[in-house]
Amino acid sequence: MSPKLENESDEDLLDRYKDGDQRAFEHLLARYRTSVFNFLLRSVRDPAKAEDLLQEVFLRVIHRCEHFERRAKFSTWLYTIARNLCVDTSRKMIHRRHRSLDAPARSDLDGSEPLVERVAASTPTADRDAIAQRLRVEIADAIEELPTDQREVFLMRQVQGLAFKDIATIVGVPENTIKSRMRYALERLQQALSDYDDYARKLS
Amino acid sequence: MSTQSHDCQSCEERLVEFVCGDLSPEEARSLRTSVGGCAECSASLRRLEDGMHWACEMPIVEPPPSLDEAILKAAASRLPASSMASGAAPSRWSRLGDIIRAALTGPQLAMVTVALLVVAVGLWVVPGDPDDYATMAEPMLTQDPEGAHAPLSTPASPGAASASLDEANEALDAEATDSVEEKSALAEVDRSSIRGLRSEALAEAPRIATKTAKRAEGPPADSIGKSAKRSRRMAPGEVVDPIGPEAMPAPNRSAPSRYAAGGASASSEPGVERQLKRPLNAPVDSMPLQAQKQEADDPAQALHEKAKSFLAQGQCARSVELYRRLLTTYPGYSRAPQAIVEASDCYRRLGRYDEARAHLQQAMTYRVARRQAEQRLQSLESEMRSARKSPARKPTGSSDADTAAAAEAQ
Repeated sequence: MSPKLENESDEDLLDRYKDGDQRAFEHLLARYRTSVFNFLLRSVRDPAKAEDLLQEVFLRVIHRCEHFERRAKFSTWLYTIARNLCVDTSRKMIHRRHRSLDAPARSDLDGSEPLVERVAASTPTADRDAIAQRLRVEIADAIEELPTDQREVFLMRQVQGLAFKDIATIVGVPENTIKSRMRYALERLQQALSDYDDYARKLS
Repeated sequence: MSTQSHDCQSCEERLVEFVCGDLSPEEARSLRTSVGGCAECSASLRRLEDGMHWACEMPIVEPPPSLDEAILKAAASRLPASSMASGAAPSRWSRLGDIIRAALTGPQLAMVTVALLVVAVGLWVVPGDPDDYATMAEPMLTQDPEGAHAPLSTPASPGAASASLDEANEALDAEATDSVEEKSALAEVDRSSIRGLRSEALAEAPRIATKTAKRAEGPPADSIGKSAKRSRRMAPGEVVDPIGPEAMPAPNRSAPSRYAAGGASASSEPGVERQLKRPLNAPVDSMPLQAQKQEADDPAQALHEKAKSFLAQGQCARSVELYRRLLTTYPGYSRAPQAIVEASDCYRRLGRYDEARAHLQQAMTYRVARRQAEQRLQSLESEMRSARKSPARKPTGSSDADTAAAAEAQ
């Protein structure tokens, strides 16, 4: 990657792309593809759908880039597009639970024993890895179980690191409301995963 | 609850910022010290820190690389071939060109074009060669009350010099329906050809209907139809092709003038009625033709649009009144579910949470609005919880005027 483009701001990269520099768009894509994908994945809870939406988000960026006038940040604009697509998709989809993309098949683990009871004084490395993987699944599930309004705030903050002020602009509610939703999301996560506190401490 | 020096409510608001790392080191230190002396806040902080710990453990999934290919292909297809080949950064001149191009193709161009057309037609309307009366256009009487009768008093052409003023007025009466049709046609043209223009631009554009100086006994039926058809394709202010002497309708001397005092209109269309009841020398209606037609066609929709407009401006008290009127006057309105959800938003912004919730619960009974209402209900309940904890907080999204109006209404 060109070091010069790496230091450019998102808005400058988009301007460059509008002027015909394809590499600028590649940089933008590299910066945001993972975070936007995770936002979409945890929002719609369907990996295939999340992939489609990721393409759709960036296609909209490509087709609407002429209308971006730098009145807001590029990240704000991008996540507004992503959020709108999620909302539209959620309305159409029938909600059903999907296993997280990173979830192992249940048959891979010894499911006879609850996870918390597997915290032993010492476990083999392979077993610890499997349990850590399972823990990640539980965390992903807990996030996906958050109410929609709390989840979107949580994801935008955690996945992308957007400021609360920017999230408020995207969602269209006051900043204090955003902070409240974030607080409720964190408290819910803590409540849902409190059984694994000891386990997480032992793993770390 | 806490000691006098520690305010749990304000502390709780800052705890999220603290765990998310938004506070400066000094602020964080100060908050920790403050929280340390309060059991409740300490417990809240522990919960939030634990939650943040789990949040940081959230697994991050990489999207498949194959997705990039399709996206980059689309990005490349948008670019012109020359810039793709060079891959070089564009010059400032090309950027300037893009800016000019964007300005020329934007809505500004349409507005400027309309303004120029208006000026051009206005200049063209001014009488020029007195011999060329066949193509001279005269302004509509309603546009210029003072000078409305001036053209009539002046012989339009040597051939029409013998026509009396009364005959000319009666001819205009009979043309009233045709002019209304032309206005409707022009309104259609407005909608289809000029999108995105502000309504102020349309309202200010003088509504100029033209008629030829030559009076005739009556037009053939097909020529009137052709005239109406031609006007459909034309922009407002554009001059209609001159109609020949045989195109004028025969004055209907037996029928009473629609402009007589208390004269009733024969038409049942509300929009037409308004036009006919206005005297010849009355000022032009300030409402744009498009809005008049919309109001005539669907009053419920027009009321809905007004309510939404006030809501968008933040005038929630007025918006609430309009929504209330809409939902009580037109219970069968096709977009009532959407209007109920919007009304709940108004109440929420005014801090009237109970009414907001009631509206959302009502909206949930409609299949089309159920999901949206459920989501909003969840966020409303969150907001209500926050509001209970900090009752001094002003209702969100409302202006001071709205808050005062809401207080008066209650």
